[in-house]
Amino acid sequence: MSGDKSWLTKFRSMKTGLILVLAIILASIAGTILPQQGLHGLTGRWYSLLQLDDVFHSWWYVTLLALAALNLMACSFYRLKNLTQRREETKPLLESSQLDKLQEKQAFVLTGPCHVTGDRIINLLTSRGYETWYDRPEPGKWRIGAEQGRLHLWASLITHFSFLVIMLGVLTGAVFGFQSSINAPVGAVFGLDSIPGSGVAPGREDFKLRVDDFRIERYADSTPAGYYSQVTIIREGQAEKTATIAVNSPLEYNGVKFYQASYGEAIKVDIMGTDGMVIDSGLVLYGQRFAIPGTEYSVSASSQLSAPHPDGSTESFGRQVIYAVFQGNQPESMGRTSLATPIKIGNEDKTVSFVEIVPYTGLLVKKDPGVPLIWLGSFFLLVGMGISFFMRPHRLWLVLQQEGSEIAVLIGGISKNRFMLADSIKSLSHDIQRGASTGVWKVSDKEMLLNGNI
Amino acid sequence: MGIYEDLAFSGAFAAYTIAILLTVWGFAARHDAVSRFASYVTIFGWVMNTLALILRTLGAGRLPLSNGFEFLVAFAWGIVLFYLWLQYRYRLKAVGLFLLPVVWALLAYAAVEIPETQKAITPLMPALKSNWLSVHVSTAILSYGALAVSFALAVMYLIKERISRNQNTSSVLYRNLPGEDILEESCYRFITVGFFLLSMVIISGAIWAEQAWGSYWSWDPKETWSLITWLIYGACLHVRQTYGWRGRRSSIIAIIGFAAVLFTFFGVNYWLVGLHSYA
Repeated sequence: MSGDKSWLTKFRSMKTGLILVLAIILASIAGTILPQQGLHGLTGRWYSLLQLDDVFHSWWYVTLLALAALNLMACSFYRLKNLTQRREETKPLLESSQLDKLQEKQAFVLTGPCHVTGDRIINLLTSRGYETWYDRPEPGKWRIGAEQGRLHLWASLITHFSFLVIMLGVLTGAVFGFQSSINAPVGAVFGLDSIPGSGVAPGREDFKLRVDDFRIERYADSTPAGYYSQVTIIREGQAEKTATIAVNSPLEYNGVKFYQASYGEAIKVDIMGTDGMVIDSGLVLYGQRFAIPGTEYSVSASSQLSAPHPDGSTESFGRQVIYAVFQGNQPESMGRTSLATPIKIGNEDKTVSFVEIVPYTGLLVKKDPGVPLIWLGSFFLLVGMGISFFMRPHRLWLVLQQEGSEIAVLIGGISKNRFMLADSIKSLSHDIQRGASTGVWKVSDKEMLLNGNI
Repeated sequence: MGIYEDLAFSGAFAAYTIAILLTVWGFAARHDAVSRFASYVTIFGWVMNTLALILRTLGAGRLPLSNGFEFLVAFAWGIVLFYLWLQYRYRLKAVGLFLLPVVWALLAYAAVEIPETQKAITPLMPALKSNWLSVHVSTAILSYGALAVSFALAVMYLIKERISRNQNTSSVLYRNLPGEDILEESCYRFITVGFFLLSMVIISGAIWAEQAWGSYWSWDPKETWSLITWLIYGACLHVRQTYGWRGRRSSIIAIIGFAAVLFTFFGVNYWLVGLHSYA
């Protein structure tokens, strides 16, 4: 083996991981501080090259995240290999002289026969959740070993693998999911085929959604208390179920989720022929153009409250429509009109009339099959961290030596956490001494239950 | 703010102020009775703080966790909760000297800088009407509380370490500060508790965001800064474990981490704009 580390060893090292984390931290700070809209001029060019207007989705940020993921993956697999290749662990027992060299230890003397006390101590240790092993090398002498928190070996691995599960979830969502939105006026029926990005071909949708009602509830001070869309799922022409979609309460159907995202008003428009009969009608949504069938014209419109009449009469107080007519993509004319007043469209023999204002609900439509993986990963992340932080792995050794009617007890241990170890040894010594002097050995409730003492 | 809530708030603020003075006195004069009295005054302040939160809960008919003012009062409460627990568990002296001023500053900020409109109880906006609100914000309070304690311990460690490097072991500060070992160890413990809770904050926030906004992660400034904070503490734990970066270096990272906590709360609200604009 040469002294040079292979690139893989270097790549999976924690140093690489930490450098990547540092880079992600710095990039993230930049992403929250830099204005996330396009700028012009020279800065603009740099901005667009490095995608600084959208740092978190830029090629270099995503690359950083991917490298960190690979580093984590390599490091986790390496750990897993090490952990599974671990030889069956020996369970050593120590002599008094070895125990004496440990950092944390305690010695005391008990009265009574050694064989009884030895059994009691092992019971006590077991009831405290220790795994124990022991031998009796000579009459009147016990050597006991005890260990707690062996699961700890796996904790770091669980934590790190949970990230891979989360990343798998993100990837699954990115590949198999979609997110889009639709502004649906009350009364509208739509299927997934009309949702951009859903990947459902026209006419191939499994079900349709009908918006039955949209309402806003308000507090006494008129601030909004809630937005509610009443909808019906229609399958093969049959109403299958009704639901109310509200903020914080999306509707999930067939793996697709519908969220209450916004609302607004649309304007219903009638198209009339020369005879004044309605040929067609449709809805003009805010900010969108409505194409007039059979012509190259389209209209856009928005409504506003008209100003009160100068003479003070309230009759004329109502809605007005501001509209624009386009020929192809060219604006042709614009103006202001009242509801239900026909306007002529270019040279066509058709007129349009904005007949009424219809509220619409803005729904976010989303499918993300990766979400369960995200929650699964999050759960394991917490489990792994919980074991890492709150389980305190340590080993204890005891030597009992009968000396006449007395037993000399020596307890020592090793752990990464010295304060906790000192605490454990102290409380164990306390319980042993109290048990030996009173004859009442403290065991856990579970143990007492098993022995039928409760 | 109701009159009784106002009284409780003022009582807590006054008690914490007095507790700081008593702590300084007890520390400088090495007077144990004064230090003990300072602890009692702190407990009184915490009870008042609790009362202020309870009264607001009763007044609003919900947990008081929905705007910047409410969060600050609860944040102070969480810090003192962990401080009292630390006192009980580790019997560490002098932590209050470094921690209570943080609590004081938070409450002073809440009293002076937060506009009256936020202090009034306002009904919840639709996005906040969720059971996840209480889970998300209460874990945030506990997490930030634990991290504030780790910050105070890290500062104490750095001071103690600096004096001992200068071999000025006769100074009052040196003699009255707890040992470097216990400071370093308890600082680490509080970071692990705070870090674990911070993970819960981020996860519960993601679950909630998925329910309210349809996306578990949106790179909103608040989200991003909580991730930055999380990465800093995560890195801190890794270098401690692997490279044995203890003491000075890990204390410095703990201080940077808490600065990130404060920025996540204050900085993001006042300088950056995002979805998370209520607190």
